[in-house]
Amino acid sequence: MTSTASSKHAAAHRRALSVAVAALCRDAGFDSSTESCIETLTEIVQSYIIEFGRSSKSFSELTGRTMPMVTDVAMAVSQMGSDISNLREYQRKLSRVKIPKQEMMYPTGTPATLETGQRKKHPSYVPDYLPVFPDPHTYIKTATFKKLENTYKVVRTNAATQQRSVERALTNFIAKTTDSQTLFPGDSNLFPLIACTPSARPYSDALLPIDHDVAKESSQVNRDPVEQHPSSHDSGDRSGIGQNEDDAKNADLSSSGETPDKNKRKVDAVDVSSNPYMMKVRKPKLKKKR
Amino acid sequence: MCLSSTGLLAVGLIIPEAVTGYYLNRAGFETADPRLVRVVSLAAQKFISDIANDALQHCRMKGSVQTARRPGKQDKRYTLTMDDLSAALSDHGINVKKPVYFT
Repeated sequence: MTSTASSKHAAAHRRALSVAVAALCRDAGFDSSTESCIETLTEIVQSYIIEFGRSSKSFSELTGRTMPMVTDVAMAVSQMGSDISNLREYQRKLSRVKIPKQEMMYPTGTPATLETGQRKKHPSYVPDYLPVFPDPHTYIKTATFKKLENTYKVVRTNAATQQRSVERALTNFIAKTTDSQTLFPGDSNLFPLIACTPSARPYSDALLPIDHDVAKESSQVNRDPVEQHPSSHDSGDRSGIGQNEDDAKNADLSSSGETPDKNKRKVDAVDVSSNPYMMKVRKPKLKKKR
Repeated sequence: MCLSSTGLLAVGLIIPEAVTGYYLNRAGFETADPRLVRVVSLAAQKFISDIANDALQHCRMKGSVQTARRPGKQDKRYTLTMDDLSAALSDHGINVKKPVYFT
């Protein structure tokens, strides 16, 4: 039971008390007041009355009674620091203050809940005294993702579309990064074609020997294409340098067969373990295993 | 006591008896005599009136009086503020400290 009990009953009494305090202040000669002053005075009066009641109650209990009498109240008044004989004088001087009748406070009802949808009735095995089902939107689940289609037609279509888009993207990339020719003269963006670069000696590619290692190919089938492609790209990118190298190779070929040695040295410098000539020891092992 | 025998007590109560009775009941005070409640009500009323009078004296001494808006009248308007009220309350032995965050 504190003075700040937040029940409606206490709030109504506190409001009446604050009105009375404001009337007393006006009676004393004030024309206006700040809200905090009225609040403070209301709190003081509240605790004053409660203290009054407690002390007079304890005075009555001290004399063995349950109901306080006038003497108990008089003792309490004098204990609170005021004289009871002054009260009569005060009451004679008191001017009559009219407090307008307060309007009645009506309790505010809880707002009606919004009902959506129709509530499900109880199944036959559920007794009637159990609560009704809540609104259906509170428990109904709806899938929020699209169902994946796994039919053969759709998969094939998707794969073809993907492949085509990849090819187109690659073609566009090469056409933009290297020289391109146009199918329709005038509009360079429409149907760009990869420019054809004719080499000076087209037959040299067919004549030049290419190192093929059977064991390497068989063991590293997956790696080979990856390793071969960068070299080809390099030659394509650096066309000027590639041509120079070709010229040098041709010159070497004409003079003597030193190119394989050069290639060997390069390979040695790059990676010794991948050199097929250094892997002689492995061959018999492979045969033994087979 | 001669106080209870006089019939004056029913007149001029500003704090309603019902309100006083409610707060007395909260303290465990229960009586069948309505005059006792009136005495308590009157005592509380006097207490507040004394405090308000003291605050008014403080306000007058300060001289911070707002004159009336209408120039014809010579009325002086007094406003009860927390400064005057806390000064008056400290005379009665009550220390009021306003919290700094309280507007």
